[in-house]
Amino acid sequence: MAADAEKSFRPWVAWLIGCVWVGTAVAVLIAVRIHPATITNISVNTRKLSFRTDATHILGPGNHEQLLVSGMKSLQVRFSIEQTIHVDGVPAHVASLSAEGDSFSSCSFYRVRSGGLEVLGPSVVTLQFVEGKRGKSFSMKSHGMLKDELSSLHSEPGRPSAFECRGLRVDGKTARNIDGTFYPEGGDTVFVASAPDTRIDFTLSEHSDVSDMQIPILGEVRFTETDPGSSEEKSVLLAPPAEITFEKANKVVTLKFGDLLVVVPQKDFYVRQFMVTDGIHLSLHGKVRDVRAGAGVKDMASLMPSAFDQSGSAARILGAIATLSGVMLGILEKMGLLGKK
Amino acid sequence: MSHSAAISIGLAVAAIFLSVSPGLHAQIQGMQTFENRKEGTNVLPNAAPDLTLIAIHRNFEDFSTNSNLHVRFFLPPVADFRTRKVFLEAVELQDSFHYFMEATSQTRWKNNGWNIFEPWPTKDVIDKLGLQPTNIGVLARYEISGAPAVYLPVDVFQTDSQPKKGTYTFHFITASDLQTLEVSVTNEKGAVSKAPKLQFSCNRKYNPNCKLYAAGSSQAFTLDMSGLRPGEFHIKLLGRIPGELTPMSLDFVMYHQL
Repeated sequence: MAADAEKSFRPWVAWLIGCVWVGTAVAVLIAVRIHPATITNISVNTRKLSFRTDATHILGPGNHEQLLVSGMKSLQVRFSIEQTIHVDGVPAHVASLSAEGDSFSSCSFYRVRSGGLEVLGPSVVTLQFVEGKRGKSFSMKSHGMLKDELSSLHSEPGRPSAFECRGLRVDGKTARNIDGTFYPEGGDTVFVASAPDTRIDFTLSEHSDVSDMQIPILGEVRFTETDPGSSEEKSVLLAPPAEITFEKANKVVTLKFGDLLVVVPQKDFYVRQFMVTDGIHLSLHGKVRDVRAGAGVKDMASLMPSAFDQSGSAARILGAIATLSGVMLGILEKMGLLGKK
Repeated sequence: MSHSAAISIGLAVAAIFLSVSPGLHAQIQGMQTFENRKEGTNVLPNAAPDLTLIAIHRNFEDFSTNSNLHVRFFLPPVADFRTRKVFLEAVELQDSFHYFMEATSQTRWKNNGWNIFEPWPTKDVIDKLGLQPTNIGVLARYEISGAPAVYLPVDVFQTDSQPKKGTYTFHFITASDLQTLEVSVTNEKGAVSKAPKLQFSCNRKYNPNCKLYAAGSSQAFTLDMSGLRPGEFHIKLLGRIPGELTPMSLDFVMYHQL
């Protein structure tokens, strides 16, 4: 009987079973080794975020105690009624003001409402949150021109709505200093166009609202900054720990506090929402090519789920069926139930 | 096709997948080495101290893409010039890409004379990063063991068409918010020079906690030293932080040459 059974295990059947098993094993091995791009949801609180974007607008409207713009190309002010301004200390009564600047010119606007920043072309934007002894502040750097339209707010005792600028040219002459107050009732309009490289600093008050939604991110995002002393990359993540959800694989990863994080988008990757409170609270969503994290630069490893993790239950069942069919073939052949041809 | 051949091909495809997948996302970054310099993107040790000097320009000509830049600076006479180390570096004034350039030490500098660093073609790195001329700062200095660094104002040019003046633009980074900044100049003996003392401040009537400069920002001021004789001068920056009594300061030596 044994001899008959061995005889009935024909070579082509053995090959077929081997191929099915090896094929399945190779497919699983490949699926475990490769980490295809996948839809990812990232919730993170950070001190700093730098990214490339083609967004046309960034930051929503908001009231600010002081808005400091470093790198002013153009300033235009329309007063509701004639106001006294000082150009290099010399008073002038004007209904409007027009001035030109450059990357070294700067202006501070006190008690104003920003209409939101218009971004002129693709830019590299860096958002940064700073908490100091005197309160919280937020800055935005842009490698790319910005425009904003401000409205002066109602002045309060000891806190007028006002402006002061340095290094602007009025009527073609370089002025060291221009300053003045807005109409106390508010409503004066200010048009600001920035230099190609500019920085805007917001002094956050209790009622400040700095936030935005749906900002496209075009390149790699590193949640790190360089330590000046050691030149090492340091994490900029704040508590609570960042949470990364790979939606297709239903895999959730919570980073340890102090981990470095790098996100490499593939396409259609967005800041779904960000809000500045005790840090920059970010919700990011889209297809990513890689997400790496670790305790240091050389410790960073990909968190991406493998193709096997991402494969649906149907694919896994198909794999199991293929494996079992190999077993069944073997059993049938042993039992001599497979046809002789 | 035989079964073994099919399996071999399958394994080969699998091997290719396995070997390629980890390297798919590698990025090309960092410094590139050229004949006379290293240039690229690098981590920049700025904003470490309270105030950090990042550039001193005498003239900085505007340039377009595909330009060839030259940097000129004066090296004053020193007795032990063979032990003198000369540094020439360029950074972004407002950092977006971590751009950095440094002249390599092979360059032979002329003692007691004007030196020109060249070539510095923008097509190699500057154009690729899309950097604007107004956002590039160049800093030259020399060091002799045991003595503080001496900073040397630079001219950056293509055609050298602008007139030379003794007016310098100083670029620096502040690590803290500043409400006021005073700039004073003294000569080697500590005597106050004829150069005007600069004072900048924000208007505290508008906001008692106003900021003149925000923490981490790069700023600039211009100093007219054309009325001074050539030599070493000490430039002192004294800044006050909103709500704090203790000021922050930066004192450095520069060589003024007409």
